[in-house]
Amino acid sequence: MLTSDERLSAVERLDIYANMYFARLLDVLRTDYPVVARMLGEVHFHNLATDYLLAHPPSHFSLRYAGEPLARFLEDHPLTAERPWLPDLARFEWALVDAFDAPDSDTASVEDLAGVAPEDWPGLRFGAVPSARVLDLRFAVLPTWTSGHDESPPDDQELPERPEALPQAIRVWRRNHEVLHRPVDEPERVALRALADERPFGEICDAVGALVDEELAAPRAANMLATWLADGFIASVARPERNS
Amino acid sequence: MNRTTASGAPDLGHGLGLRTVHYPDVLEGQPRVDWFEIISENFMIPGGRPLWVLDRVRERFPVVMHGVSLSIGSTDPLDLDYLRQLRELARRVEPSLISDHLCWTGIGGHNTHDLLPLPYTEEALAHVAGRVERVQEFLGRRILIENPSSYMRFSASSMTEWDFLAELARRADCWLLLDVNNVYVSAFNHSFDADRYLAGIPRERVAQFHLAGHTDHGRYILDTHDHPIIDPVWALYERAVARFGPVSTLIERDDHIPPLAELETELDHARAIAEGVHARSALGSRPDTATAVAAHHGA
Repeated sequence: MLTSDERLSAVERLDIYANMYFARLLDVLRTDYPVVARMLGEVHFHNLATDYLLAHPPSHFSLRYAGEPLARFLEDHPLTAERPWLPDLARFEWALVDAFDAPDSDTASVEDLAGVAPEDWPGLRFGAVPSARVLDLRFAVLPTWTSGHDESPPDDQELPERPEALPQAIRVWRRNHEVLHRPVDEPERVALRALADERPFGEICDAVGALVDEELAAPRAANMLATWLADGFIASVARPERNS
Repeated sequence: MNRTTASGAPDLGHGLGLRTVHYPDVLEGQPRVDWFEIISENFMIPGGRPLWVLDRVRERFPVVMHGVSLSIGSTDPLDLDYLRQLRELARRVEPSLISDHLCWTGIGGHNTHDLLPLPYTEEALAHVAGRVERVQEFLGRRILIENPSSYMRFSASSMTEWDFLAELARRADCWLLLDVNNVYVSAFNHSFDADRYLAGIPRERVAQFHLAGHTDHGRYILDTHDHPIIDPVWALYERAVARFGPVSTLIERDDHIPPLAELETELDHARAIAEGVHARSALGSRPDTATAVAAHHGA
């Protein structure tokens, strides 16, 4: 079916394409998961990429999505047996990729709360920006990621510490053109869950109140809200509808 | 620069691929570049900085959209979701030209993200021409089809690649993006004469040129777009300009990308070649000019 000649056989010609296919996709995975690649080292990463591509040949028109299932794939991969933190690290790196080109949106600011009557506060509803993600991880990946994603580490730099088995929630979002992330404690985690469920502010306070002293719940929730607004994490503020 | 071109397409001058490493220079400087080409798929995204940069670039420069995933030769149905997003990007960008490759990228929903060559048969020709017509109708404009670089050929092929492209352009009424480096690379890999290729392409169909570097692996050349353009390719470009006239020209550098200034210098070289050809043909087509020049020198 394919022609051969004195310089290259048909098999050698097909091999050129096969090699390019793998090299191209290995490159994409390394670009999207630089710290996973660094922690695994070249040999293990190369083998992971091979196994991954056999299981998940790309099917989208853009290479942008070729690496999306990697964290799920890692759950059952032999490399994870000795590195249980690997899927969580991949999850975090992919959240950064997703936030980078998520839809643009306006952001709300604390000025949007000016003049809100006290009785209207419990009914306020907020929408997070489209790029917002909250990750619930079983391993504390941030120290590893922070020291591992330096693009030009000195040659003698040691491998970053492996993530500890400490549950950690992280919110990821994009403000203007910058992808940001911040770890969140348990009260903020439940508040974010209520926010994602589009619960009104009063219910966000209730959720926080289940974890802290009751009289501290509202101020604590208000502080979170102020931080979210300052962070550009909130896209919209909706006042409660008036019953006529 | 309003030269008429044989194809009827605009002559945009000499351009470069828009690359992220050059964003600061392009946004803040005065690049010696007439226009920019984007890889369409990189901007078929929901939001973020790349689109913001594209909008800023488009405010100052003509932009051409070059795609890699149209897969015009595949037996899979045309991807309507892809076409819709491509059309949406075109509405945003208002590109001077839209192009993709004579290739297939995969079947059964898989995408190899490579540009795989087709067998050059009557059946493939009818198949591809029909699909090009449908894409042009969907987009509401002509597209350009680029000649691929390739490393394999099919024994079933009953015609040359250049005959296939020439007939495709005629049947589908589309334009051709003539990649001069790809002609050189494929000519080496498949032992044909690059000049025969140029001679076989109709003048009135070529709306754009690509120029690029490659990697010589001895028994084959790999189209890597990661080196400067070599002299034989410059020479082929000069012959292409002589044959096809003034045509928008792009230098593609996709890997080991040097500072913008280095690519501007390479682009200057392309400009100089094209200007030289134009000047010689202008002189040659005006016999009274030649006589006047001769008389002035006392010949």
